[in-house]
Amino acid sequence: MESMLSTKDLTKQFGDFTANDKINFSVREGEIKAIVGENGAGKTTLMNMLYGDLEPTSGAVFLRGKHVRFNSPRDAIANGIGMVHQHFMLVPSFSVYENILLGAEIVNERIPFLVNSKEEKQRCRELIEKYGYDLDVNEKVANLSVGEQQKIEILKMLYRDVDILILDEPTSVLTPQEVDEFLIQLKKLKAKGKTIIIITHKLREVMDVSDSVMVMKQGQVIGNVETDETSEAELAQMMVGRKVLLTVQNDHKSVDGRTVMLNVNGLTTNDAAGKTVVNNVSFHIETGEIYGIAGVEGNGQSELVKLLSGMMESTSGSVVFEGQDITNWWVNDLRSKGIGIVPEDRFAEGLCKEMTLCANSIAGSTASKDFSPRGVFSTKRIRDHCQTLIDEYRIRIADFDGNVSQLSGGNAQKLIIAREMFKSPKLLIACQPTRGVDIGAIEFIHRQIIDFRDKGGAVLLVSSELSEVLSLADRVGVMYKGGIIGEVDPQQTTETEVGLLMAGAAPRTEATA
Amino acid sequence: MDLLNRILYDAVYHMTPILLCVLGGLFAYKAGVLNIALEGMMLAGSFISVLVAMYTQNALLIYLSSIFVCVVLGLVFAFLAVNKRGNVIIIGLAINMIIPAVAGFVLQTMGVPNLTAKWINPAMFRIDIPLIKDIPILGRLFSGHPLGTYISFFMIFVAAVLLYKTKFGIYTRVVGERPLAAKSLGIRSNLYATLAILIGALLCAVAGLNLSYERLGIYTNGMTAGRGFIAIAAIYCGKGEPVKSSLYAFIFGIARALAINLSIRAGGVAALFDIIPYLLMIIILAINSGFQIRNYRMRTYW
Repeated sequence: MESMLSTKDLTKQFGDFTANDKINFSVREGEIKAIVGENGAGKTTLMNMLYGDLEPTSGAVFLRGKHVRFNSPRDAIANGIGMVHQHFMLVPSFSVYENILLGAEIVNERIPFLVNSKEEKQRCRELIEKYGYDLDVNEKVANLSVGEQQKIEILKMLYRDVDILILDEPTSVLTPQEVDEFLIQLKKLKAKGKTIIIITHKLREVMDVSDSVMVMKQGQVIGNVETDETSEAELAQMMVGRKVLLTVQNDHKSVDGRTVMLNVNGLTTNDAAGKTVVNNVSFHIETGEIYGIAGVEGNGQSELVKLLSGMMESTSGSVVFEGQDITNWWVNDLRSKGIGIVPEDRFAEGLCKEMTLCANSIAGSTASKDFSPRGVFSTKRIRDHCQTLIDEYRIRIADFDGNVSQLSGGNAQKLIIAREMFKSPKLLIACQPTRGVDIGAIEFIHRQIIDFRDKGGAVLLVSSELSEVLSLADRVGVMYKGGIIGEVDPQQTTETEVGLLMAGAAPRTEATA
Repeated sequence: MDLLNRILYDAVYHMTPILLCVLGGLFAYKAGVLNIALEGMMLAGSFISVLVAMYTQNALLIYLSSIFVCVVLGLVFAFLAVNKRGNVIIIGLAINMIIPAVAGFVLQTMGVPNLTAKWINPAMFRIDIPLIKDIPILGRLFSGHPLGTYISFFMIFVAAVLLYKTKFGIYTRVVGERPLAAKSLGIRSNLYATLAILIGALLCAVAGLNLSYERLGIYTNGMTAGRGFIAIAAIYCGKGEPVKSSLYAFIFGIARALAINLSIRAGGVAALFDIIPYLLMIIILAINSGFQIRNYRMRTYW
């Protein structure tokens, strides 16, 4: 079949770094093409070139066999190529219709410099109806759920009548039910004749929805396969370059003589706008237990972690650690009590990018006599300490004296975990520990967390990857709109059941009570 | 009653240059550019208008020359800040410092302490509005002002329409609020940021004209006296919304009217009252940000 969109030796370099190396990509008309690969494999870079957002260093793009060159996304859209980015490109203070029509406003016929919002709303309503969505055109985007926002992103492209739709990690922020609905929508779009390119790292979705798959690794194409001729395991192996265990070895070992380590009672706080974002959250974690927090991102998990790690103040409720009230303690005091923190955004809160590996390796312990025995830092001791962490946690570095910014996501995360574990904490708070981390490092990090638990440590694990929470945690609380809507035993529950909780459906037990 | 009338009239009178600066500056604010050069641009407008007025009585020429110079300054600011991604504080500061320096040099070369266009009698620029001028209180508020004041009132409406009802306004707000969203749709961020800065420059020219040419026919160095910065404060407090920001501009106008009218009666400590607008600015900013962070629970800098 004739290819709809293809590339020939497309290359993109950022300085010395080759993000895309001679990529030959091709998608047929009316198919769903999946592009898989680990973080940093160059998938997004490739798509940004197809969308005119990045200029290729060399190589060519062909649309319906014709050589094209896009100078901006506007060119790409004019040629029928639309893209939905991983991080949504919506304007929160604008309403639904304003966002859909952004850049394609309808003007008043008589006074052409004025925007005709009445006509705009009408056209949006028709569009929403045509594709069977359920959205209010007047609603402010800031008030919408992530799933709804994604629909607006897609509608934005459909309004522009694109033939090719590029979706970058579209399902990473959706509940399992929303994912299912989304995949059905994709098939419907395909039935309407659209060509779809989907970037993802979730192989189940690839198998479910795509017609063919391209696997990328380190900026190169590893293989092109038809979906019905491959398997999840084969794709995973292509992505990583070796056999990987897709499931975590977790025997949920029970430690004797469990005691309550952390007790959170009615914790509540609000955001800058005064809206309650953590609402009456109560749970406890015992020694030798991993307590997981699941939920769609933006339901208060980040704020809960900030509260527990001393970066935010609660308005009511209490936190008791080993019998001592630690509510609203500051970070330093929490750390000295034996709480290790793996923050959500590793480069914003976990590490200082523009400082050296050594400096980062002692962050949080700078006051320790171990590193400054005579009141000034002992360079030798710090370097030895840093080297120990690097060796023990097999952190891959390029330059020992260089800045932390040299590290990949996985290795940066390993450095944080190494640093926190070194202080032998009693409680580890880990927020999104494997986000943006390659599969190899994920295995390692999961192992660390489980070993820590098996040695009697308590872990609070917050993750938006449902499979991660369910496979690691001993008990799971599901957060919805700032509160814990239900608690489940991961060994006796299904993703569907948790998914319902994530979407706000109250558990049956509570409904009957 | 007479004092009240006087204060009301003066409040509008003194609000005008601030309001013009506010309405010009809020576009850059909405486009995500901090334009601290409002002060310097306004001063340039004042300087050029009187300088030109010394040689010609052609009002059009006076207006155009002032606007031209301010727009050139705006282009310089936009080029350095938007196209070259320079530090807006440093660029703005440079403009704010170079204008009085150049003006001071010209004054020195001419051997005069200030510029005076002798033909100007401020009364000749006052426009009385037929019916309104006879209404008590309102008449003093809305009648008998120079052209710039009426322009400034009209501009509140124009700014609101421009910002919320036109493509230009929509794109400018997107560029400021979500630059990446603008980029993803091929909206030319640099173009809109530049245009926003130029609108500011244009209105700063009108503000400067009002301050020196329309009111006095005199230019002295430093005559803007921080009005550009007060305008920035008003924009921040009003979050760049035209009507809200204008109200803050009016509050600052009242402050200056109070300062002037009270200091006339204050005798020896008259100069003390001059601090009212600036003191008020600090108080309003403090209350405003205190109000904004009242629900802030993060333990980080903001």
